[in-house]
Amino acid sequence: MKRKILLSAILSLSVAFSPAFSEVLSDEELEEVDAQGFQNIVQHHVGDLSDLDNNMDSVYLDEETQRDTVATYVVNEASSSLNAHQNTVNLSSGFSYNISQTNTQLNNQNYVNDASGNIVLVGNVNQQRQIVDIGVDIDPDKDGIVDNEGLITRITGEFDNNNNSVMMRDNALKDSQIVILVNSSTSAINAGMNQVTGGDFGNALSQINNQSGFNFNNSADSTGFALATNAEVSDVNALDGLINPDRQLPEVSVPTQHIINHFNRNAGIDAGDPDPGHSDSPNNPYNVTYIRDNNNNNNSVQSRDNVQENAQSNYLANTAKTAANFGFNIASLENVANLTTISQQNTQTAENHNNTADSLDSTAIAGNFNKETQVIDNMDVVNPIDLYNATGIIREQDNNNNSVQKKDDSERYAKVIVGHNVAVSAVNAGLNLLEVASLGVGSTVTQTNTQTSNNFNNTADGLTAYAENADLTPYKDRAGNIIDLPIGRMDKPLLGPGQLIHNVHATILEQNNNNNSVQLANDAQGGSSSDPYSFFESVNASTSAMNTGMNVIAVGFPGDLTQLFDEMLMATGTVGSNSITQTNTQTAGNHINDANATFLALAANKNKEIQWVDNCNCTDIASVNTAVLPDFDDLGRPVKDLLKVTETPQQNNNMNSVQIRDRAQRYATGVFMGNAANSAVNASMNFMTSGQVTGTTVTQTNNAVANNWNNTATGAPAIAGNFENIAW
Amino acid sequence: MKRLMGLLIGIGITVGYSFGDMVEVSDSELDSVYAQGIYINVPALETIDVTNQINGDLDIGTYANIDQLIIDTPQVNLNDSIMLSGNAQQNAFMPINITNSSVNMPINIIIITGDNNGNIDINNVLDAINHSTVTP
Repeated sequence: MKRKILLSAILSLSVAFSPAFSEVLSDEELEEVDAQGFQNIVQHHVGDLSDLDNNMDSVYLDEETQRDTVATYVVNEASSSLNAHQNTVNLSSGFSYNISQTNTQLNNQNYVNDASGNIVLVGNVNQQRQIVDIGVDIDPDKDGIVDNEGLITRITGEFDNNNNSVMMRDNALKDSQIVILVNSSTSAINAGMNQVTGGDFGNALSQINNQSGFNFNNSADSTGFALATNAEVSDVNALDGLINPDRQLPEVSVPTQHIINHFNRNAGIDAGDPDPGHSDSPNNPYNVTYIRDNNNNNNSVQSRDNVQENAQSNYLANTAKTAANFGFNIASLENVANLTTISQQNTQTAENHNNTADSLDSTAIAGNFNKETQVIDNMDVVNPIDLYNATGIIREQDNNNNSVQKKDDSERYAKVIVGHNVAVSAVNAGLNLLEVASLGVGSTVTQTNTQTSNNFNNTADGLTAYAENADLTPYKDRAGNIIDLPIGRMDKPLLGPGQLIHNVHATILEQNNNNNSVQLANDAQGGSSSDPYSFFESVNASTSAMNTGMNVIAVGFPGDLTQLFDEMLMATGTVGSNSITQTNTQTAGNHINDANATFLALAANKNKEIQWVDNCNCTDIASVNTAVLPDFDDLGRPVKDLLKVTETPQQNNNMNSVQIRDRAQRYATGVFMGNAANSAVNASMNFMTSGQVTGTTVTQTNNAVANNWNNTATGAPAIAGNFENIAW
Repeated sequence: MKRLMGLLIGIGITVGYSFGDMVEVSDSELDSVYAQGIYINVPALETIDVTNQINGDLDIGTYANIDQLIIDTPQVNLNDSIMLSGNAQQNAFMPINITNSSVNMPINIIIITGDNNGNIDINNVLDAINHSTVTP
């Protein structure tokens, strides 16, 4: 029923373009639409809360969840689609028949829309929004008289807000042994493994993973107006602003995640206050909001504490807003007979948030609008300009937007073949490993990885065409006023910030703000020299397209393959007259827009890289000086004990960045280690090692195209580029 | 529509997407270009007026906090950056830390410890495009 209403609502947008679709929805129906995928938490409270965890389309594991799990597959997913399969053959002795192992995982589509017609509007609209509002409500009975003053409100435990995210904390998945472990939010994942182990082998071996994962792709093919979009807007009327030919800005701001830590005092509404809005009267004591541990994740992966510490997996994936493929072929055999054919192939396509709009004789718009914005208000949101109105103390706050954050001991000592911690990305991992004692005469070995990853790519083709990723709306407060950031910060409104952090009248001990970034801290993915974090491939990526293709042939290698790169010269196996071919063909595209039009063609990324961290001069990144505190609050509780914190203060602000610190990945050891933000990456390896070779042709080929933030437009006029802080 | 097209063209010229011609950009025009890849951080210490701050602290000192650090605020600001510190990251065969980049990383290794009388053929064809307006 809701789906039907949503479709109707989207169709109603076409009113502006065609009278034929002038179906008008009632307000009630529109309210239904706006509520699709929308979480609004208001928790105004006086006193203590222990834990407050708000999860929207997220995977949240805490405490002892799945600790010590031993399993073949463990999948925790929210709003995701996943294919996982494993084929295993063990040969106890010689085998001279054919073995064929194939995983075909081609139809993995998550939030994918495809339509054609006269006027076509397809998309995911208002699916993914979270608003959390906590703090002291000074006037709970709404009679205009302040009831609550001089109180300390505390959230003394966990205060975790997760929107389209994976968050794990405490001992979740610690010491687990899981062949394929996937934690995913709003993602499309394929995992395929083919494994053959045994003795001598002859005839033919075929191992194939054929995988496609599509996440939040939209395609509109129309003779008239065509719109293909993922959008977060206040309501469908605001979406109309996006597709209006005059391109007016939508009027209402909608960060996908908005956290309001509401430090509130009287805001001048107490009629008995002799000096409203100021604190110099002893009759106006303060409300203090104290938050011990606040994690805000938007389209992000966060793991902390001892999560996945000492975990062992072939594929360990934690993904948010991502399309990912994992293809793994391994054959470990003894002597391979003459005239044997061995083929290992991974063919993979990962597509994330790609839109295509095609209009024969009208406007075509393909884009992602306001998809990835996070606003954190640590402030008095009723009157943000009044610096003397409220106060808050935050011991630790992590704000992750489209980011990967791993901290504490997470994944320390872990052992993985492939590890993916990925946010808002398209990634492929293809591995072909062949280990034999010898290769007989006339055998053919082929290893192939063919990989395509596309992330936030848009194509529009029409009389006029817009292909874009954009964060368009100015930030407004709850009263609907555009925030001019207080006291001389900036002389104009901030347009479309990706991440906006307000710290106003706060004392903050530690705050990490990550926007489109990878942050590894403490001992995450660390270990010791004798017990390292080890991997064949380890990827931490945000807002990126990444392909990794690895082909390895070892003939007569005495150790196990994990030692291959330490002891390259140890192989002694003979290779007869053979054909050996290793090929990686890779295309990675990230934030690519292409517009093709008779008239205006616009291909752009707009306002996608803005991080605003506003530490007003009333805010300290510091420990709390308890010397200035009174002994007791109005509830008679000991204030100094309540608020005392002593650790070293710090603030890390990362935008489009990789920050690795404090022993993170220390002693990590493996083959490919990639930490990437906002990038297009192809990593490929062809490796062969053997003893004597006779009459063999070895061909190794890498073909790679990495395309990052590239825009092309054809039209009159044609505009292509990456723009920041613009209003159109 | 016309109004919008005018705006787009105007911006295109200002920031240099002007279709082939070299255009000298004036200082005032450059002022509007700063926002490319904008990163704004207003750290507490840059804007501090110590006198006012003390007043502010006294104002609220009856109840809470504020131990303003004047030096050594441990603040790290990274924009399009890589930071490794504190014994971070040591070993990998193919390590890569990147931001805002296009990277191809091909590796071909053939090791033959015995005699070899065969052919070896290695091919890499790579194409990396970053923050551009080109057709690959």
